[in-house]
Amino acid sequence: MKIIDFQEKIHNDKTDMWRFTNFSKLKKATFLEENESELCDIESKIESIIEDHKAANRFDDFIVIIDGQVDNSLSGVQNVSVDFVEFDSSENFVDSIVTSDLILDSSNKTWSKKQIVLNLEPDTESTDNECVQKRIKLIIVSTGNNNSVNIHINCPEKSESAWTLLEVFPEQSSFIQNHQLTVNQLDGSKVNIVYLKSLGQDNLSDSYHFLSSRIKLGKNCKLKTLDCMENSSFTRHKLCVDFDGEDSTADLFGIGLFKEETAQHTHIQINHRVKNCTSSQLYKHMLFNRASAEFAGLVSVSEGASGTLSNQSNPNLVFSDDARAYSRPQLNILNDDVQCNHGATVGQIDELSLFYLKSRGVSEKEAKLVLLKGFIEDVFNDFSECEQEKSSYLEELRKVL
Amino acid sequence: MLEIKNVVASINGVKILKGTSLTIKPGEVHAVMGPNGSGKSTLSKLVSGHPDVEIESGDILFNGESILDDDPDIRALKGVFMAFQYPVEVPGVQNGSFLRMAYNAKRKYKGLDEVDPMDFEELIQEKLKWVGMNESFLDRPLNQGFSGGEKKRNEILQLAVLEPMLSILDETDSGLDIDALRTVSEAVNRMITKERSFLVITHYQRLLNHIVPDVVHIFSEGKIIKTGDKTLALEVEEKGYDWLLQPVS
Ligand SMILES: Nc1ncnc2c1ncn2[C@@H]1O[C@H](COP(=O)(O)OP(=O)(O)O)[C@@H](O)[C@H]1O
Ligand SMILES: [Mg+2]
Repeated sequence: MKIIDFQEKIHNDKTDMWRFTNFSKLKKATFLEENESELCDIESKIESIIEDHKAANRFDDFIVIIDGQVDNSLSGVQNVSVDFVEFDSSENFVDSIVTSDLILDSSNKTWSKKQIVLNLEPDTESTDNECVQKRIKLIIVSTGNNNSVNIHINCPEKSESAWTLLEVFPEQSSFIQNHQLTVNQLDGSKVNIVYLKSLGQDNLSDSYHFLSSRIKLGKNCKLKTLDCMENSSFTRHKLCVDFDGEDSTADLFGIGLFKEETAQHTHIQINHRVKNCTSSQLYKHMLFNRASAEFAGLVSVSEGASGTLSNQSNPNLVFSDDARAYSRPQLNILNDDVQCNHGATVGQIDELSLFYLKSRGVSEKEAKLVLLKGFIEDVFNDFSECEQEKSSYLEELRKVL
Repeated sequence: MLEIKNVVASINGVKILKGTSLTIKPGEVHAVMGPNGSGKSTLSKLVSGHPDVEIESGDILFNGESILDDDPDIRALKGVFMAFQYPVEVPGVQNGSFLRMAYNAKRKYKGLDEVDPMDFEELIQEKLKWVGMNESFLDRPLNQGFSGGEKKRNEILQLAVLEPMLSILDETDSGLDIDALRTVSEAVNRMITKERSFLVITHYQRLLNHIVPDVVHIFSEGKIIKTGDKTLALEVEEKGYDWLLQPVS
């Protein structure tokens, strides 16, 4: 187990979010081409996912996006209207290569061609103090035909919605995904966003995922996000939150279970631009074998953003000498009237707790599981829609412990 | 039941037990008294299988078989229970569900099915009364934020639920006020049968008024230096340990 102090060892240009992303593996990968049997596999998979969710009645709407296109026949929408915005094709991405972020950005626009705009309909039935949360599931399927999806979500004033984005892909193949998500929260809206990959696939050894999200909050908004991360050889999630209106709150959660030789990069940027907003980040990682995870969270507080509260925490549990957890919390504060905390830990399962549980007759494996269940629990607390995912994590842990 | 045979053991390379021997028969209550730092907790850790305790020589037999190679969970399933001097706070693990988990682990070991949750509820309610605890403690994280006395009661609650063959109480009395001491002792006394054995570690004779020992050992510098009946405890209370520590002429 090794901890690297980035601040000390590597130059600390605070805005450089890419310095530690190692692309060498990516260069060597060969990516998926269309394959009949894979497509059958994925179609039946989508159908079973939809059936499951219909049966469980957990979602009001679901929207199936296959290779960047909304599939109307598989989707069921009531509360959302779907629009498209064409990207300007004159913007050639090769011209705009300045930083790696822009490469991904431009390539996303080039390949996705248009933005899928999801407008949550205002809730006409709700009264002022009572709002019904709309639960919407996006099933984002990549078959290898098109690796880029660009989604924009509009949440009207005082709306309440929970969005689950589930990525589905063929098993046992190498591929690359480059997705972008933007969310606009109007005043008084409450939004939950959960990002998932279909869990339990062991063979994502050659998959590369890029996700860049940007969420804007108006006045009095509440945002909660949960990023469920799992094995894939390379993942980079960037999440940017802009507070544009006062008295808003953003709570960002992440949970990662990295079992093999995987590299996960989580880059968060929170911009406190206005007064009295609160943000929190709680990202918990569990690393096995030769996994590595980097967490870089930047909280920027502008001059005018007095009354800002910000809290950042990144506990890592490391189960192998070869696993690496990198944590790089950063604060950039230009106002005196703020409270910002950050904490990162890297450690192992507490031996004393383990002994205590075992001394009551509980086996080592069960004792570890119950401790890990406790470890991941608070990440899921605010996401009742994710009970199933929580249990999948425990099942995965049961396999790997 | 338990036979500790001339054990030499160390923690972090420091020799703490220097040839400890102790035999407890079924149905017996033994008390171990001794000054601070003499190795009493190390003795209880030794029997329960704490990973810090390294055995250099000697053996521990439980029901005639060595348990040195058994992990703590196996020892527990075989019937060893230690009530910790400092119970561990385990955030994120719910007290009640952990109790049921441990209870079921024991049932499974005996080849029984998992307990019906309703039956367990009934059982736990009764045992809560024994130790004078409120059922709200079941919903809280294991020992987290419990006061010293509440932690000790919770240890005895576990003991009452798991019904071990050998119970080791490591200074269970410290942190308990007079009333709590009486309640907890009564709970322990209810557990005493002809089959079960107890090893009660304490500083004070006070506890032994409630839980009456058959045998009293005085422990010093990693060894039992004197063994007697319950009057030995009274004698120690009166004179302190010093008179025992003088070289016998
Ligand atoms: N983890 C440890 N590391 C080093 N020394 C220890 C450790 N645990 C106990 N000891 C030492 O072992 C000796 C015996 O401790 P202990 O068994 O707790 O005594 P008692 O319970 O009789 O008060 C003490 O000197 C104590 O400092
Ligand atoms: Mg002690």
